[in-house]
Amino acid sequence: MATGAIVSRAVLPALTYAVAGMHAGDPESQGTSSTSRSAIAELPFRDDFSGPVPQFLDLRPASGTALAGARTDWTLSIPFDVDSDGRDEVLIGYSLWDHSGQQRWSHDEELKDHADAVGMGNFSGDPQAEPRAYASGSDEGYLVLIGAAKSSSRCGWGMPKA
Amino acid sequence: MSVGKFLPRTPLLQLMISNFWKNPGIVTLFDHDGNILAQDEPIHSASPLMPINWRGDGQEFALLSGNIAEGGMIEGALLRVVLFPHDGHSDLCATPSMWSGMNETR
Repeated sequence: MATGAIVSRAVLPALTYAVAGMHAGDPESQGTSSTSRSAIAELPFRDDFSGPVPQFLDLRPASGTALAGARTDWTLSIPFDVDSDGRDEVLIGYSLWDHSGQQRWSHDEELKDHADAVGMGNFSGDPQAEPRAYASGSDEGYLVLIGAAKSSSRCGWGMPKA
Repeated sequence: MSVGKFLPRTPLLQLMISNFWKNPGIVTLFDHDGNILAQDEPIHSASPLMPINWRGDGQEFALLSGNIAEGGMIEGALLRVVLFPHDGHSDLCATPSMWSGMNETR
């Protein structure tokens, strides 16, 4: 079942040292990372293109095009065909959506902090194993979630944007 | 979050994450089940930790940044194993890429 149930969770260490050269809460000043901070999630639904230009959903709160119920605070997304039906689902933060715009599962109500990075794939070494979703956030820690009932040999992962 | 063959003697891929705030700079290596394999603060920065095939023998490193002092690459034990020279290169952004098209063992 594509329940999205949390099967593993690691609590990350508390802040016990000085924060030098970085300012928590200021998204533009954290370190020398090559990532850019953006609340825009680009979601190319490959099978549902209405034209030559891929569709993009702007998840910024003011855009008016957010998926109903999707959190827009610092989330990021990754497409992946978790059920091998030929259409990608999209993991947005702690929620999984399918190509029709239906939410498969969500942990947004219980997890309050945004996800810094998300990923999906079957990294078990067993090609028949169910792919899993992975998410990490500073408050919520690192989570391994059940993704879908069917397995897939594809692997994909999200690069941290937040 | 980065997925790669950071531990060459293990059969599967590992996932590496870096905390970006509250407890920033802490890098953790997990197996696919969420078990912690290594955890440290190798350098205090937020990095995508992009996997990079630097050795060509199957082991991958994670790219911190191109900075000569705080950048470089780390391996599965989270030790910095590559530092970049002070040759005037830009260090505001960096990404691994295979320009030669070759994947030979060196």
